[in-house]
This record gives sequence, structure tokens and C-alpha cells, in this order.
Amino acid sequence: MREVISVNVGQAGCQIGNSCWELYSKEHGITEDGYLQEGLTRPKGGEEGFSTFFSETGSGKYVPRALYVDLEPSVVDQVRNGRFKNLFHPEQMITGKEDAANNYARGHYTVGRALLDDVNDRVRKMADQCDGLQGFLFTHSLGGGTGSGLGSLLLEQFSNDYGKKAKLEFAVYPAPQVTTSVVEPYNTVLTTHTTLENADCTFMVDNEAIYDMCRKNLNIPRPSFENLNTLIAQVVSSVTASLRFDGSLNVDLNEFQTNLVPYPRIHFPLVSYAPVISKSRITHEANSVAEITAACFEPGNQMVKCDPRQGKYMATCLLYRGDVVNRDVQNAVAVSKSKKTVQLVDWCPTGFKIGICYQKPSQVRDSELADVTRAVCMLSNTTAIADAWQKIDRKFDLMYKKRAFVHWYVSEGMEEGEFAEAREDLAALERDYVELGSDSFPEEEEEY
Amino acid sequence: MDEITIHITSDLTTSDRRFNPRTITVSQFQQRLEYITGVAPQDQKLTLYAIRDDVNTKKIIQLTSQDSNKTLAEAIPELTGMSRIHVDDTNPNSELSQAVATTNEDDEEVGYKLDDKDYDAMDNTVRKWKKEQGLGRFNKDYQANLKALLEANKAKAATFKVGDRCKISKSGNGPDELDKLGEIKYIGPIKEIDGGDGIWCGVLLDEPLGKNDGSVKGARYFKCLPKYGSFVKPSVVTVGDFAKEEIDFSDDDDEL
Amino acid sequence: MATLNLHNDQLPHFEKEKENMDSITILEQEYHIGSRISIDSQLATVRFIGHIPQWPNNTAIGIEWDDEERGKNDGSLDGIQYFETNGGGKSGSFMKLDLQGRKLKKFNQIRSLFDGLIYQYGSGIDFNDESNDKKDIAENGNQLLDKFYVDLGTRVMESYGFEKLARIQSDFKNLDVVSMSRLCIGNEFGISLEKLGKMLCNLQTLDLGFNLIDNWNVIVELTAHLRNLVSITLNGNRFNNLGESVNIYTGSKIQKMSLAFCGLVYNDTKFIEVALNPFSKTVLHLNLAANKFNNETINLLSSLSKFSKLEILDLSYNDFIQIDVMFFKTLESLKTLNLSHNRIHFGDTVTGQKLPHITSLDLSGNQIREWDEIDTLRELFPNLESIKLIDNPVFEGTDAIEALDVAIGQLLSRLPNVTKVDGTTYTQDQRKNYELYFISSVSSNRIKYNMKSSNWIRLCNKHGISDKQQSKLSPNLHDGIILDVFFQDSLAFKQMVLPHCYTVGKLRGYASRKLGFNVLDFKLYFAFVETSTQLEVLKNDQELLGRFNLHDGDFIFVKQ
Repeated sequence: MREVISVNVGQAGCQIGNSCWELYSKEHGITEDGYLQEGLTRPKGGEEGFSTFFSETGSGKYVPRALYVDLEPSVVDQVRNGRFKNLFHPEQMITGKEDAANNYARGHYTVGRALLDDVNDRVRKMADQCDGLQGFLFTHSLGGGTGSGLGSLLLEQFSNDYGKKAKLEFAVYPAPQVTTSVVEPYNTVLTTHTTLENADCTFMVDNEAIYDMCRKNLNIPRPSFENLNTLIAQVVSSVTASLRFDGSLNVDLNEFQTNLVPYPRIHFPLVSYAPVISKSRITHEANSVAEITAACFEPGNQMVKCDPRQGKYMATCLLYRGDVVNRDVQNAVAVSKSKKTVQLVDWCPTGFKIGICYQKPSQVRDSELADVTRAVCMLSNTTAIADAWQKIDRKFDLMYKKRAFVHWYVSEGMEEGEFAEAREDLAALERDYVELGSDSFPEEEEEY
Repeated sequence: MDEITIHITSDLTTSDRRFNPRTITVSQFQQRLEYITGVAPQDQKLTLYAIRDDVNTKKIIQLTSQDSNKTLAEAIPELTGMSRIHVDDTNPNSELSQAVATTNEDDEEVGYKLDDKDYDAMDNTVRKWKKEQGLGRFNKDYQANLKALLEANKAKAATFKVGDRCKISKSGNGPDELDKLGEIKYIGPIKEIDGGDGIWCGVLLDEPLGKNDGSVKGARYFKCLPKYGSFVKPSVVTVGDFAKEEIDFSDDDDEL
Repeated sequence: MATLNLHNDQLPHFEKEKENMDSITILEQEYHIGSRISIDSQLATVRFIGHIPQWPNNTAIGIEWDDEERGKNDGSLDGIQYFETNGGGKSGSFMKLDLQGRKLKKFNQIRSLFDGLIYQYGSGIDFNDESNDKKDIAENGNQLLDKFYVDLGTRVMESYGFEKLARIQSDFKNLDVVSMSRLCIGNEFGISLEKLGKMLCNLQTLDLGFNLIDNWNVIVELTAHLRNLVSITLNGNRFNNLGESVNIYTGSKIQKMSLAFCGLVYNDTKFIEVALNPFSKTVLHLNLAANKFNNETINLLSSLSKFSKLEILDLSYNDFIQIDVMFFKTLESLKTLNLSHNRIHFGDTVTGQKLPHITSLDLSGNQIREWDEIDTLRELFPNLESIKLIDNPVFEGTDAIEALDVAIGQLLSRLPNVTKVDGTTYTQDQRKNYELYFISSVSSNRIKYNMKSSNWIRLCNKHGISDKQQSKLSPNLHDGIILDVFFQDSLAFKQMVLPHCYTVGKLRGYASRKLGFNVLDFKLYFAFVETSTQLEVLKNDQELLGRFNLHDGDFIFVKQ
């Protein structure tokens, strides 16, 4: 058994986690109460598959290997009182009484630290139940207080306690066009700096990109958080599909790193997913392998807004899911490759891989997404994603130049030096991407 | 009234936040607003739009120190779940105002600069990794290989003449990689593409399968109809007796 | 994607002497008038075979393309009408057939069903394995596909797991989903149905869309042998032929059936009536989108009333201009109705009849222009829970979120049971806010609404606005009212001009400041000048003063 423990931290982390577990339960044939659906004798996904994410109790109940952590109770209370309240054990939810007030330092040093022992205990208990723990999946936002502060604290802690175990992240990156709080850039830079060494692979999601997908692809004019999270859950599910079902690529957490990360710091693959079609429009949209593959290369299907055509690729994983055949995939990839400018970093050791997960995608009840028999998820490590860091670094500089609000952090026990250190680290990261994009031999077949 | 969602805006921020107006006090609320917008409570000027889009429902909220312990519901009875509160900063010397002032400054002044020397000296960087592993330009053969590539192209180009019939061939079987026939119209460097390092061939194609009209990035190298021109490396060009294909127009009455 | 291997000895045969031919052979396939044909991967129906003066040395076939814009004529050339198209002026074409192989390249080879299955899922079959029961097919020597790679210039993109996939798929018993769309599959099975049924014994979902099947009997027999089949997609096939004997097989388990783009209105009127019979007891979800149905042709669907279990019906992308209530009433189990992308509006709809079973309605992309039409919608669908109305003229100009909020307010106020609008769920709290906003907008004349309507009365009741107040609403509520406000039992009063849009809460706040009392420690009452001793409670802090129908000179009392 190769278990994976999911940890959801902060408001965004917990809400996304909730949507994910709803989807996972559906995919594995487990009801809201944790029992098998009618007609099933085993959960779907085979022994190896579902047990990575679910543990089985003596009474035949299936419990997610998950933890919800938040500094204030209102979001986790929704899980405690929601449809899936019986799926989780009360010990899997850890909440504090006062929140981090959008302040990384409160999440990381003061208020957050108070919860640390509790969280460690619970994780230790869950880890002890595992035969062969692979590692952890973190979900959190980068711009808030709890997700960034407590999230990075936990990642540090787990590196200490669980050394070599893989740690993957799904991180909600602050939307570039809309700032939700004035110190978002501080929180983002601080947490990225702290986490850079501790996470093996981080998948970023930008709410704006998801919002646009809801409006344009799903014809939802006024997307709610529920709409956004349902879509995010579908994407997260496709990334973790091969961990939970029979698949050929990224079948364990370590593989993500092997396949996608050429150098430890450079671990932010861009995620694209297709198809995103409304169930009302499914008749009119074709959903062939060729179409969904082409869609993956479109900016409108990316989880973070950036332009890979302006960047260079270091590694890519194309993961198909469901009913596909060899020939169709081969043709589709060949066409996509020739139409777009896929510029490579030719000296980079990582690879380009195409894989398949045999289980087809599912939808939750009331989802607006069409029920489809095939889907594809593309993870590309591209230099174009450095754009995201550039944007947030600029916002950071504007505030930091006048040291605006730094005292909020210092008063919670942080040292001002940490700001400078973090900013330098992110500057080096931006430089790293520039270095990656250089020294490739000119493309011989380039045509102007 | 349980929690409601209020749309909070300020000069720099926009967000939707949940509050319970019956339990949160005015001073707690103003503190929350500070963490979101950066405006200190004493500097806050709050404008309420009882109904978000309706300017008729706009009003400035007057709060005195006596209001601090009141609940939000008492102090702002018109507050609904469709309200928006806009927070202005009345203090030109506040932290926030200072920070906002920097948004108008030059990028050059504001942006953090990492000196190349400093980056070079850092331990855990991609550059260091490349050096240690001999990747990219730190590969001992890099310069030699790059030179060889340029030389190969130059050498091949030297066997071409303007006016030669030629074929452009690429690897792969996709629709973009079919062979294209044409005539060489230019041989030489194109600084607009690569700064003048390499040698390029400008080809006038038989069919409109190219990328330009003989110019690239504003510089003209030869003239032709749009899409009939293409600039490629000599490595994909083969010179030879490639006769222009007669396009059989009799295909046209295939279908009526 | 269909392959054509044209061998030199497979040239078409035809007899030059015959003027009117009843059939023609192309690529070893015989075509008659009415046959389905695929040319350059586009589907068409053969409508004419013979000679035309424009091509004296060749045979011509006249075809009607499924894509009605693809063609060049309406079946006539230079004044001679060779055939009549269903689809109009640009759906017909004439194709030249001649001996030169190169022209015939465009005609696609028709496959049998089994051929298609092998083509799509059989790449992992080991044809050298003697025990293999797929040795039935002599041709198609597919080899076990190696791990494939795609050339990226200096690198390659490698595949993982596809050999295993091919192997798994090649044992057809493993297939629960089969997609065989656009493979030029004709009416032949290519293998005995018993064998096929055994091979595909676990098949649950089958897509045979955009093929060349035109004999409905094929479908009936196929589904009879696929015992576990639950969902079948037949989009884009034109069933011109009912088949000689349509066996009524009642054992089918099919719950979902899709017949979009099937040109169903062009069929024989008996077609739908007879063809869908075998499935009427089990089908829960039926898709009939893009078939040119309209209010006149809806009677073609009269047999649908036999679909006693039908819960979801998709009639999107047709040409309805209104909802035919009598028709939908016959579908007693129907819960979800998709009528998106028609031309529906409710301007002339007569209410009276209701469709109480329908809880989910998609009317996006129609012609609803006025908000009042939504009231008609409410009458027709009293139990509606989920609605889609995006892309109707009434929603135009709602790109900005504020404008969208106004629109949602209008919607929710008129549709009391709806919880989901255009994909987003609204809580009761959110609904309350939207309704109050709507009420205030109507009161202040920003929105016109019939204040005598039962819906208005219902809204007012829900939010605690009494009868008397409702019926005597003064239209112009922007001015203030001059009221005498008495505090406690003092006879002294303050004359105040209070705007109509002041809320009770605001007044309460003022009173509390004036009196120094906590806002919760007193009550507010009002009385009309004529009945000054009859005090009524000014309840509900959210309420606008204007709602209480107060006029100049009326009284307000503030009492503990």
C-alpha cells in the first residue's frame, strides 16, 4: 500500500478539499456516509488505487486520509455540518478560534503555531496507520494568512518529521487583475520562499483563470465559489488519477518530480485540462481525442494565465483518461506539436511523456460539467510561468519600498530581514527561469 | 440575520467578505477592514452602497467613537447582503497613501534588482547547477557545437545561389511539415531574427504556404504576395531541379 | 480519418448505355438512390444516379450533403431539376465519377461494424495467435503497436502504457465504453450477432455517431444482442429505412439514447412512431437536438408519450417558437427539459395549463425579450428549481456584475422555487436579499411590475408588508414625507421630513441617538391622521418608510 495523506489548510484549501473529496468519493463508488454504493462489493479503482486515498475501518466504512486545518472555524464548520459530515472523523478537522487576519506572520508564528502540536499529533496518528506512506498533498492559498503562514509552517514541519516523503502542493495563486487584500503580495512571497525548499512539486491555480473558464466554457455568468471549486476539483482529480486508479504515468508522488522537475527549485508545472464543456452544450461540441488535445494547448484551458508560446518547455506530461486509442493519441499529439511552437530547452534532462489512466472521468451531482468519456490533463514545466512570479514580485516591491504594513508582521514575531531574504530568493527564482530559457541551440526548423 | 457577504472595495483591493452583522462590533469590523484594505480605522471613510449597483442608495457612513461597541447591524441598519462598502483613506500621510504613491513611480526606481554578480555567487541556483553539470553554455562542447552549426549552415548556404529552385523539408508528418517548393530569393543574415549570427534563406514559394510577403519584423528582404514568402535555415533547404507543379484546374469541375 | 487503399482493380463499374440507373458501384460498394455515402469524410445521401449534359463522358451522382451549406445547388442544374433537396439551396451537389483513380480518392470506403471495432480497438490483437477468435477477419493485418513516440526536433515525446492499453482493449470483453464515431460504418455487422454480443458482453456505452447506418433494424438487432448496453449515441446517422421487420424487443436496458443531427423531420412520418417503440419502456434520457423540429412538426413526436419513464428530454437547437404545453403534458415523468437554442418566447403564450412535473429547464439562447415573460414561465412551470436563461435578449447588457445582479433579482423574484440560475446555486439568504432589492426597485419605479398580481402580493407577504400597504402604493416615492414624530409619551413632537427610501432601521437609529436608548429597547409605531389612536407597529428594520403608505401629517411614535 502506498498511502497519500491530503492536508487542506485555510479557507481556500478547505473549500477546495471539500469539493475534491466529494468527487473522489463518487469516483470510487463511496457514498456520503463512507459506505459502498449499492451494487458494489469493492470500491472502484482496485485495491492499490483507492487505498492510497481512503482507509478502511473494521466495520466496512471508508474514511478519507485527509486533514482539514483552519484558524477560524466557519469554513470547516460547513464540512462538519454539510452533506459529507459522516464521511470524516471529527479528529480530522482542526480549527482555532481566531483567524490569521490575512497575515502570514500570524499564521506562521503566533496564532498558527498554537495549532501545530495538534496537527502534528493527528498527522502522526494517520501516518502510523499507513503501511508505506508515500507522502503528502497540500492544498492552500498563497495570498491569505492561514493558507500561506500555517501552510508553509506545516510543510517545514513535515520535512523535519517525514524527511524523504514526497510533498506536492495545489496552491491558489493570487489573481493578477484583482487584489483581494493589500498584503497579498507579502504573504505570497513569504510563503513561496519558505516552501521552495520543502515542496517537491507545486501546481498553481489562479482563480481568475478558473472564473473565465466557468464563464466562457460553461456559460455560467455569475460563478460562485462552488462553481469554481467544482472545476478545480475536476482538475485536481485528473492530476491525481493515476495515483488512485490504474494508470501508466505519475503513478506515485515521486514520479511527478522525476518526470517534471529538472532542478528542485523549478517545480511549478503549468496545468491545462480539457474538455471543459457545459452539459447543455455537449451535443454541439465534439469531444474527440484530437479536439481535447488541441484544447490543452489553448490559453483558455490553462489554470494560470501566461503564454507558453513565449516561453520554452523543459518537461511535459500529457495524461489521457478514459476511452482513448493509441492511434488517435499519436495523431493528435503530432498535429498539436506541429501547429504550435513548442520550443524546447534542448539541454534539459527531463522528458516529455504521454500516459494513460484507464478510468474515465466522473462528475459530481449537480455539476455543470458535461459527463464525458475521455479527458486529458497536461502538466508542462514551462519558463512562461515565471510571469506569475514577476507580477507578484512587482506588487511586493511597491508596498515594500515604503515598508508599508511590515510592522503588522514584525509585531507577530517576524524579523524584517525575512522580507529581504524572501524577496531575494524570488528574484533568484526569476533569474533561474531566465537561465533555463537560455543557451538552447536555435531551432533548425524554425520558419519566419 | 446570519452571516452576509459584503462587497468590500478600496483603491487597491476588491473582495467579498462574510460578516455576521449581529455579532461583530464596529471596531472589530473596522479592524478587519484595515487588514484587507490597509486603511487605519481612524483614517477610514466608509461609503455604503446599500444596493451595490444603485447609486441612489449611496451614503457616507458617519461613525463616531460612541459607535465602536455597537454591532454592525445597529450602526449600519441599511446593510444588506447586496451591499458594497467602499473604504477611502482620508490621511495623505498614512502608510497606505505612501505605498500608493509608489505605484506612480518609475518601475526602474521601485523594482528590486538582483545584481548578476550576486546571483552568480549564490549557492542554490540554476546557473550553478548548469555550471556543475556542464549544461547549456557551460557544456565544454557548447561553443564548438554552436559554431559548427553556424558553420554548417554557412557552408550549405554557400552552395546556394539566388534564383535556384529549391525544396523546404522538415521532419515529422504533420500538415505543417509537408515539403514546399519554391525559389531562393535571399541568402544572408537577418538581424531581426537572431541578431545577425546565422545565415538564412528567403524563399518565394510556389503556393501560399509561407509566413510573409518577403519581409520579416518590418525589414524587407524581397518582395512577393502575402503568404508566399518564407525565411528558413539552409539546413532545411535542398537545392535542385524542382519543377513548378502545374496545378490542374480541371479539378474544379469535379463537383457541380 | 478513414483510410482508403485504392487498388487499381477496384475501379467503379457502370454501364454507359443506361440513362437511369438504379444503382452504381464505387469502391466495391453498391449505392442506390437513398444510400448513405461518405465523401472526403463528409456525409451525404445519394439522390440521383445518371448522366447530366455538363459531363457527357461521365456518370454523375447527385447527392444531398448532411451539412446544408456544403453544397452548390438545390438538386437542379441549368433549369433541370434532377432531384429535390430537403435542406434547400445549398445542400445538393453533383459529383463526377470517372475511371481515373485519383478522383475516386475522395470516396470513403464503407466498413462493417466489426471492421470498425477492429480498426478502433483491435491494434493490440495478435493475428499470429492461432487461438484468437478474431481470426474471422482475413484482411486488416494490424500489428501489435509498438510504444510510439512523437518527434519534437531534438527530443521525442514518449508514450507509456499504450501497449498495455491496446492489449486490454483488444480483448473486447474488457470494453465498457466503445466510441466508433465517424468511421464510415454501414449497415453490415461483419460478424454474427451472437458472436458480437459475446465479445461485447460488458459494453455499456456505445457511440456510433456520424456513420452511414440508415437501416433502423440494424439498431434494433444490435441493441438486442448487447445485453448490458445502457447508453447509445446515434447522432448524425440518417435512418431513411425503417427496415423490413422491426422486431419489438422488450428486453433492452437502454436508458440513454441520442438521435441528434439525424434529420428526423425528413423521415417518413411513421418513422419515429415505430422506430422508438422498442425502447419506450426503459429510456430515461432522450436527445433529439438539431433535428429541425418546430411547433408544426411536434406532432411527429406524439409517440413519445409512450415513454413512461422519460425524465430528461433534449430538444435543443431546433426551431420552436413557443412551448407546446399540451405535448409536454403527455410526458408524465419528465423532469428536465432542454429547449436551448430555439426561438422561444412567451409573448403569445396562453396560460392555464401547467407543467408541474418539470423542475429543470434550459432556455438559454432563445428569444425571451421581456421580464414579464418570466411571469408567464412561472405560471407554466410552477415547480421549477433550476433555470438557464443566458443568451436571451432580456439578459443583454448584463456583462457588468451589477447589471447581472439586477437581472438575477428580477428572475428570483418571479420564480419562487428556483434555487439554481444559469449553473449557480443561490441560498435562501441570498434570495431574500434579491427579493428585497426587487421590491424596493418596484416601489421606487425603477422596475415596472403589476402590483395587483398574485406574485407581488406573495412577495410582500413573505417580507411582511401588509395588505393595506400593498394596495395603496403611491407611485412617486422619491419625495419625503412630513411626519410628526412623538417620543415616548411626551406631547411634544418633532416634525421630520423623512425620505421614502429611509428604512425603519435608520429611523430607529436616529431615535436611539436622540433618546439615548439602546436601539433594541424601544418600539416604533405609526398611525394615520384619520385613525390616530390606532397604532401599528413599524416592523422590519429593512423596510422602507415608503412602504407603509404614510402621507404628510401622519404620526410616528417611539415608545419603550
